[in-house]
Formats: sequence, C-alpha cells, structure tokens
Amino acid sequence: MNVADLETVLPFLLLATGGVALLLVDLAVPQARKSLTGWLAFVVALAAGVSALALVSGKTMKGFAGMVQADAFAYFADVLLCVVAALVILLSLRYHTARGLMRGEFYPLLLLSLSGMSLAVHAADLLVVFLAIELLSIPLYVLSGFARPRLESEEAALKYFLTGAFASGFLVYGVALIYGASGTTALGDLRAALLDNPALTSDALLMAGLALVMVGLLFKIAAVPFHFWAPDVYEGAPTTVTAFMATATKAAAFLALMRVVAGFAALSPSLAQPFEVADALRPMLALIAAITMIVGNVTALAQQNVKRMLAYSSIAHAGYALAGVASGDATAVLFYLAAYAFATLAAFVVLIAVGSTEGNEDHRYEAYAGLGRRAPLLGVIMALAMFSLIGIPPTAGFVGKYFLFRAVVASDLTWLAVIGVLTSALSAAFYLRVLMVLFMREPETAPEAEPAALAADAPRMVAAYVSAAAVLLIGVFPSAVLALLTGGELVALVR
Amino acid sequence: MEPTSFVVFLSSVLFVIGALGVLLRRNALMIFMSIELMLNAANLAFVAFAQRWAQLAGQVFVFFVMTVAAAEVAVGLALIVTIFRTKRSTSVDELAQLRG
Amino acid sequence: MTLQQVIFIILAIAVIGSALFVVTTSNLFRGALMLIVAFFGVAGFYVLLDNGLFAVAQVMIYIGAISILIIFSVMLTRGMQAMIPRNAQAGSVAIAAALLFLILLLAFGPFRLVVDLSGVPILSALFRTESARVLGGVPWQFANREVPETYIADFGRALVDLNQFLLPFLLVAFLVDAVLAGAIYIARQRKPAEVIAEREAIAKEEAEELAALQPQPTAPTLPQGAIASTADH
Repeated sequence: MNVADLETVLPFLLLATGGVALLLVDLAVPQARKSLTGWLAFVVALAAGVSALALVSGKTMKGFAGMVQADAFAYFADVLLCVVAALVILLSLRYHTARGLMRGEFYPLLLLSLSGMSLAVHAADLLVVFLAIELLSIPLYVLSGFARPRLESEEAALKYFLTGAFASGFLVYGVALIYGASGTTALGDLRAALLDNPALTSDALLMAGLALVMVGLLFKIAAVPFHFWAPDVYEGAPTTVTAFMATATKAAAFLALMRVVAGFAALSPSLAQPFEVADALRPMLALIAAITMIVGNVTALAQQNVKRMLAYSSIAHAGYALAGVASGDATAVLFYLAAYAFATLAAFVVLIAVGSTEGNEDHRYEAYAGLGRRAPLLGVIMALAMFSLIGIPPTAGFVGKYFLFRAVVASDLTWLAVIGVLTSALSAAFYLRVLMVLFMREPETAPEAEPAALAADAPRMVAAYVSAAAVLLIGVFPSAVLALLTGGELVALVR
Repeated sequence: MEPTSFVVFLSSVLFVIGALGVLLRRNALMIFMSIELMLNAANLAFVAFAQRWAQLAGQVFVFFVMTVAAAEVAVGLALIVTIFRTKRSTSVDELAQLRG
Repeated sequence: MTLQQVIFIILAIAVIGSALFVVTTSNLFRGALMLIVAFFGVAGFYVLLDNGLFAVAQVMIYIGAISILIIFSVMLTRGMQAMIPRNAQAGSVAIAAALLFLILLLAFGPFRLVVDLSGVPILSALFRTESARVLGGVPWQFANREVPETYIADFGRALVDLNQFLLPFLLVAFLVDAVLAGAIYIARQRKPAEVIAEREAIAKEEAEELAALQPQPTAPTLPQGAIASTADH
C-alpha cells in the first residue's frame, strides 16, 4: 500500500472510518449518555481538520491513479468543513436533548456526510465527484428526516431525497455524455484531450454532457432555477441539520463545481491559468448568478419566519459565490464561502438557542421579539451575523464581498458586480428587520424562555464565541487569512 | 449497422422520458420510478460508450451507478413508507404543509 | 435486415413503450410491473452490446432487488393507488421545461449521432456541423474487439487495484454503511411507550400552536394599565 496515496485523502479516511467506528461504539453507549457519542464525533472532526491543516503545502499531489488531487485548495476546504461540522456538533448536544432527538445515529451519519464533502473537494475525476456527492447527500437525506415521526421533518427528507436523486440522474447522464465524447472521466485527462483536439471543444455531445453536469451541480448548491426545494427542506429539517446544510454542504458542492469548471477551462485554449472559466461557460454562470442574487434576496424580503428567511439568504449567497466562480477567482470564492459559513453559523447559534428552550420550536419573527434584550449575548451574536451577511465592515462579509466584487469587475463582468452591490443593499432590509425585532419590539406574550436557559449551555457558547470570533478576525485581518490561502498555490485546481 | 450510436440515441430518449416523468408526476413512488429510468438510461449510454472506446472505465462507472441506485432505493423507499405510515399518503402535492 | 437489427427494434419498442407506460399510468402497481419490462429491455441491450456481465447484474440488481422493493412499497402504501390527481399548477411549467429540455438534448446531444444535421439548411447554420459520424473529434466506429476470456476477473481486479478503482470502491463501501444505518433508523418500528410519549408531546405542541393562533388581545401600543392586566393572568 502506498502511503502517499493515503495521504492525499487522509481527512476523508479519518472521517469515514471514524464514522463507521462510531456506529459500533454507539451501540455500547447507554441512551442516557448519548452526548458521549457527540463528543467522540467532535474529536474525530477536529482530528480530521488538524490532519488537513498539517498536510497543507504548496505541492499538488495526485493519488489513487489520478482519481483525487491533494492541493492547498482542497486542504483549506477540509479545514473549513471540519471546523464547521465540529461547531454544529457542539450546537447539537443541547438542542437534541431538548427536542427529544438525542439518538446516537446522528453523529456517525454526520461524519459520513462530512467525509463525502471532504472527498468532493479532493475530486479529480468525474466518477469521484459523482460518488462523493452521493456519499454527502444520502446521509443528509436521513438527517433531514431525523426528527421523525414529525411530519415536517419527514416531508423535508422526502423532498430533499427526490430532488437530490433527480439531480444525480442529470449528473450521471452528463458524465456519460462527456465520457462518450472524450473517452475519459478524469478532469486532468479531459483538459489534455481538449487541448490536443480542438474539434472536441465544439463537440455537441460534450456540450450537452457539460450542461447536464452543471444542472446536477446547480441543484446541489440551490442556484435559482433549481432552488425550489431548498426553503422547504431547510425549514422542515432539524435546525442543527439546516445549519450544517446551509454552511458545509453548500461550500463542498461549490468547491466540487469549481473543480468541474476548472476541468473545462481548456474549452478556451487561450486561457493561461489552470482555474479559469471557459468562454462557453462564463455567460451561463454569470446569468444564473445574477438571477440567483435577485430572486434569493427579493424572496427573502417577504418571509415571515427567520429560518425560512435564512434559507433564502443561503440561496442569495449562492448567487454571490457563483458570481465569483464566473469571474474565475478561486481564492475569492473560497474566502467568500468561509466568511458566509461562519456568519450563517453564528445566526444559527441564535436559532438553535431559541429551539433548545422548552416548548414549541417557533422561528416566526414574533417569537424573537425582545430576545436581544433578554439575552444580550445572543443579540450581539445575531447582530454580528447579520452585519456580516449584509457586508458591513469590519466583519468577514464585507471583506469577502470586497474581494469577490473586485474579482468580478476584473474579469469584465462589471454589470454582475453592480447587481451584486444593489442586491446587497436590498438585503439589508430583511437582515436589519431581524435586529429590529430582536432589540426594538416588545414580545406580544410573556416570554416563555428564561434568559438563563438561553445562555446556559457551555458547548453552544463555545460555538457562538468561535463563529463570532471567526467573523471578526476574518474581517479585521483579511490579509493574514488571504496570505495563508494564496501562499499555497490555490489556483492550481487542475493539472 | 452501428448499434452503439443507436443505443446511445435510445438511451437519450429513455432519459428524457424519465425526466418528464419526474416533472409531470406528483406521486413520490412514480417520481422515484422515473428517476430509476433516468439512471438506467445513463447506464445504457455508459455501456455503449465503453464499447466505443474499448475501455474498462465506462463499465466500472455502470457498476458504481448500479450500487448507488440500490443504495438510494433503500433510503428512498424507507422514507416513502415511513411518511406514509405517518400520514397515510405519499402524494407530493400534500407536502403543502411546508409551503408559505 | 440482420437478426441483430430485428432484435434491436423489438427491444427499443419494448423499452420505450414500457417507459412511456410507467410515466403515464395512474395505477402504481401496473407501473411497477412495466418498470420490470423496461429493466429487462435494458438488460437485452447489454446482451446486444456483448456485455453479458452487466446483463446479469441488471437482472439481479434492478429486477431482483430494486423492482421487488418498489413493489413492496407500492403494496405497503396501499390505499392511494387509485387515481392520483395531476398537479394542475405545475403542469404548464413542467411542459415548457420539458420542451426546452427535449430541444436541448436532442438537437445538441446524442440525437446528432444518428441524424446528420449538415444537410438541414437552418440547423446547420445554428450549430456547428461536423458529420454525425465524427462527433467527439474521432470517427465514430464500432470497436470490434474480442472480449478476453479473463474479462470478468479483470473487472474484479480493477475494482480492488490501488492503481485503478480502489478509491471509488472504498467510497461505495462507506456509502453502503451510511445507507444501512440511515435506512434502519428511518424505517425502525419504535417501542410503543416511546411512540406514546412522543405523540403526547406532539399533541401538546399542536395545542400550543392552536393557542398561539388565537388572536391576542394585546396590541403593542396599549396603555400601561392594559399591559399590567395581561401580565396578571
């Protein structure tokens, strides 16, 4: 067995074997102490994150006969995904007890889903892209329905499953056509084949395949014509699962999309950089990004429920990140995804704190009235999250949007950047509405939740501090983070 | 005659029929069967293309798609049956509880 | 016509016909049975393409496992197999999407393998037209190779060979693990006591929801006294 091969997918191996082992260990954990399983999963996720951090270097390595690629891009994505997952596990401990969901299967499934995400960002072959996305999705279908027999959770799971399987159908058929046209599924070989054989770049079969693969991936990131499932699934799933889907899943699907786009960069042989967007793809991506930004933000305005509003917010931010993909700047997109993930996670800390109290889980705006004054810490964290999602300095969201729009303008898509800035301004309306409700409005009924109960849970508070600190640190010291990112030859997505 | 290219053409027709089934039908099981048709179309195309390139790679893909299809069946049908037990119906139109 | 062509046409009619039946029928059970016919037809194509291994796998996996599971769930979800109403609102959208989709897939994609567009005046101007036979940059030819006797053994070895498909094989193993745990979790029958406790909790929540939906007598801008009086009870 070649050690170098294993090294290229070490985070995946740690997470997947950890997940399977945890399935067995969980059998020995008594029902009353299921949080032990959670802590073990937390350790596994952190270990995988640390291993990825240790492996980061400027080198680009191929492993398993070119199926996977280990580069700075993939390892940084691993670190981001593992940290987000670890925070979600911290958030879930109290929430699941309160909601009667403290069952051991949750954590192994979360780890297996995370392992699929880790592999998706390492993928260098369409076969691995497909299988990793399946490994990512199938546990998530189950997790969305984890609150069974609650009908809304089961319905969310079924809806997610049907749209997910539909998207997989597109993805597989697209890969089949690409294989038929080029004779390979490896992204690197595809690039070489396109460069060698210019006739292939206008091949109808290849174009149809590319279009179908893009449709399959756009379903996963919930870009606009393919977003209809997201609000229902995000609202119906347990809030911890929603937090995981809105942050980690979105980031992983985006990075897989970028790998595929990079594989097709050679459609325009003049492109010098390994990660650039072919002329054939750029208008399509830019158009979908524009529609996604507009529809996501406008629909979010009309929502009466914070959880549902955050679902539309995640659609809108997929639009921004997609604009970054269209510009061809991988660093800006990764930076933006990190900023978005931590801000969204901070917002979900508040939602999960509210959901962890006794009584019905209610995320309508009215339920949040006056919360910021009863529990000032949660109010501050929500404020930070909302400022970051709007893009107000000195938060991570501002820097993320700044880099992103700069990249978009630099790639001659100024109109797209203008739409992005305008919709960001529009988004302030619904993000600030949350803060208005939180701080300005009196609760209509006597508050059920005790402020003490809202802030009491130590693991949740750790998650709150870490995500809030990440939002601020990325915002205040962007150059340090950026140096980390660019230091490792991030642009070398395909060799 | 070249059966391979005709098989690929036929697979695309099968794929379109499956995709239309997903878009037009409202019953969860019907949608699921249509998705299985789409996956079969992809497998058929893969086998035909593997023939064309005289490679193992395309056939291996078929093997993996079959495995994934079986995995999806297990989870999907468990979900459909469970939701039916909860609700005594599997019509997606009744998933209106979440709409707003 | 050769025998091969005759078989091809029969299989094509069987597959397309049964697939059309599956997506149009209102009877779930018949749909599931016709799905088996479609799966058999696809297995027939594998035989026609000289690929016995996948023909067998198709019969075992799709017909032996997947169809049977589908039929089981059709039976387990009985009571709504009769007429299923079509979704009126989504219909027009779906038809528009379907048309677009057909045009895209058939005009750009595999359709052009069999139909030469270069002779058609408008279409040839719209799409770049190589001859239908050279799509993919190389002439489309039927590889008339001998299937080696060790074919199946080679296939098996490729799956566990580090330099070929070990990683996807490993991935699928983890996938099946996740599916096993997940499907059991979803489908598991609960202990009666557990179910009763949960139902009670849900009933309580629903009652609370109902109570919350009742119009509240207090408006945000009520005078001091009104707020005090609501706080009393």
